[in-house]
Amino acid sequence: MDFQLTEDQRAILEPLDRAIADFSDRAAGKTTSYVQDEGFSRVLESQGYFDQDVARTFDAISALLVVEKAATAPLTAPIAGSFFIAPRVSDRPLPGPIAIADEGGRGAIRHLPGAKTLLVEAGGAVRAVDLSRCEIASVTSNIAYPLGRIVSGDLAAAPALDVSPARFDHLRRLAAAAEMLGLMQGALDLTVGYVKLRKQFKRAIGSFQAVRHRLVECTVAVSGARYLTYRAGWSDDPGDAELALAHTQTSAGRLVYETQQFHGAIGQTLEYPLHLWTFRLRALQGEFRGPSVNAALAAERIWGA
Amino acid sequence: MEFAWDQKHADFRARLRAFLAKELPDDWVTVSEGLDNSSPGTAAFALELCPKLADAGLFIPHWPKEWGGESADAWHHWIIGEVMWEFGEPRSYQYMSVNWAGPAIFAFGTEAQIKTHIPQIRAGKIYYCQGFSEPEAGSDLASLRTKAEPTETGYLINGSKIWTSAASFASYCFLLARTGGEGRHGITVFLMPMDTPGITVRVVPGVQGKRSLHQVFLDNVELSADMVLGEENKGWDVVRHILFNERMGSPGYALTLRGLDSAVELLKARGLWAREDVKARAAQVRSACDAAQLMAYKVIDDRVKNLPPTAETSTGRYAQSYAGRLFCDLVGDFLQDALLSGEDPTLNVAYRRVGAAGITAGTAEIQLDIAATDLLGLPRGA
Repeated sequence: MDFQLTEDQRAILEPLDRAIADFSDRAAGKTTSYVQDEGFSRVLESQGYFDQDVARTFDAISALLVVEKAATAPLTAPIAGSFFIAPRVSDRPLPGPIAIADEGGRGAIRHLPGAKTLLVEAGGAVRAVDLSRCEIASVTSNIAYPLGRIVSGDLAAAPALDVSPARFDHLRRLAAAAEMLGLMQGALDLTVGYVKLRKQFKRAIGSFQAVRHRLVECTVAVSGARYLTYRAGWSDDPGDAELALAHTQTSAGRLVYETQQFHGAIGQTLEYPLHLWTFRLRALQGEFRGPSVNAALAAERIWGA
Repeated sequence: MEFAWDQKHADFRARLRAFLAKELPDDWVTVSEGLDNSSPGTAAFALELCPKLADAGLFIPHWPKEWGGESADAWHHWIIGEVMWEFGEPRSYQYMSVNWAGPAIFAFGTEAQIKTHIPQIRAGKIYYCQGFSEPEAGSDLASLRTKAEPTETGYLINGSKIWTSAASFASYCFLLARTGGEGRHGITVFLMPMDTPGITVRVVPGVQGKRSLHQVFLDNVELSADMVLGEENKGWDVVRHILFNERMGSPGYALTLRGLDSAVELLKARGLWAREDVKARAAQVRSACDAAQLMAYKVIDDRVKNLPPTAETSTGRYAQSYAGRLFCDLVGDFLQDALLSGEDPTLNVAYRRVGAAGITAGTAEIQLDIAATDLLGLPRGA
């Protein structure tokens, strides 16, 4: 039992931390529902965060730490596909960026615009779809990520990977939970900073117990979700992953509400960056049909059907 | 980051479980009066069990060698707590002797006090109670009014204490009394023998167990000067030491987890397990318990690594009380009949005990306040 990061883990996170610090101000003043930044993506690429061969050398916890850390940025980058999922479903590097879809590629797919490979379950197998053979349309959405949909393309004809759909779902759950951890932390950090500065009734609003207590409750929720997620990464147990994702998704609902609430009206504007975390949280809150379904699945694994 | 147990810790847990399996009677539920660690049955049994634990090296292995322990790491302490709570804490309130009473006496006691108290604690033969809270001094403990006036030979104590666990069968009380001015700086700690004339103890009927709550009346109680623990008027240092050990001293989630397993069995027997919403609620309790457990493990890991304590002790404590709340809601929502009939002692005792998790060792709100300042750096209120 050891809760400290290893030297290797600290080393893989350090350049990412620096890149986030260097590029976060690129999100300032943007009123879009998400911000992608080429400079940020280039730096991540140069540091190896899209390199599947590099990623392959790291264990699951380390890779999930990277996914979490990247999500603390107000900028969105498709790092989970390259750094966590692809190296675990394919022996050889797949052309990136990589998008991940629900079974059959239905609905709006995160990071599809600009992606070269789509990982998806189709025709009973997990497949790596060459997106140059598909017609893709952007999906305009008020929230979250760059989204697209498959207009045409035979997904079931793409080469099957040597991984079961259940295993693929397990990895996707872990990645979603880790990404949500970073998003929750990003929103929380912004809010804690804000309530220290914002004054009403001649006091920082963060000095009121109604605010102090609820922000600590948010911290408790994030801490618990974090340890559950990393335990699931360590154990590689599908039940642990379902439990972790359910807990994280439940926590995310609270985080979104509280962080918006403590920002007051400014948190409702797109001129202020809070939505760059909360929109993504809302998008992931319903992954795998949401916390209740994930929790019920975990319950069956723990106590039987 | 690593979640696997070292072999030595896994072996220790297995040894302790095997020991309890052998030592606890088949009718342990009856003997313990429904797994009530405050019951006369458990308290009497613990006076037989704890010496055996001590002989087997399973009582204070985490205490330093110079105190009579084995200098085993803090994981051993935590594993003992987890396993004991799985069985309804058969040490009764001797867990307090081990968790905070002994360590406080070692940290602040005179040679004579150490000589008097430690051998009895080590042998598993003595109970302590904590004379902290008063009717008008709960969360605001430093406003306590019980007075200790100097006399020619020591002090004359007058006042009262409340919510005192184990007071009706403890041999000594860690008594806080005011010897100086107002606030934290005028408080002194006394190691008060509970058979001193002038002490009256009333059991307060409570939710948790038969003798978990008491009121203690102190009328002209004469204590000698050598009963002061630490320095006069510097009792708050002792209090902080005790609360630090107490806040992350007892893994209550272990009992909640056992209660949850019982709850699921009952849900299955009633045909409710076919409902997806019921399964989801059970898993939510489980994830909250597991989260509380892992947060506690983080604190213990810091202790093992000699890292300075942080307010994660408070957030970890809060996580335990939150998990308890979810468990109580599950039971209340879906197992009303089992709760009323008391047919399952584990479910019942878990339900009763976890309700207090947000009160003991500083209320949940106090924990939130500590963490708001120390962990998030939020400004304090006016």
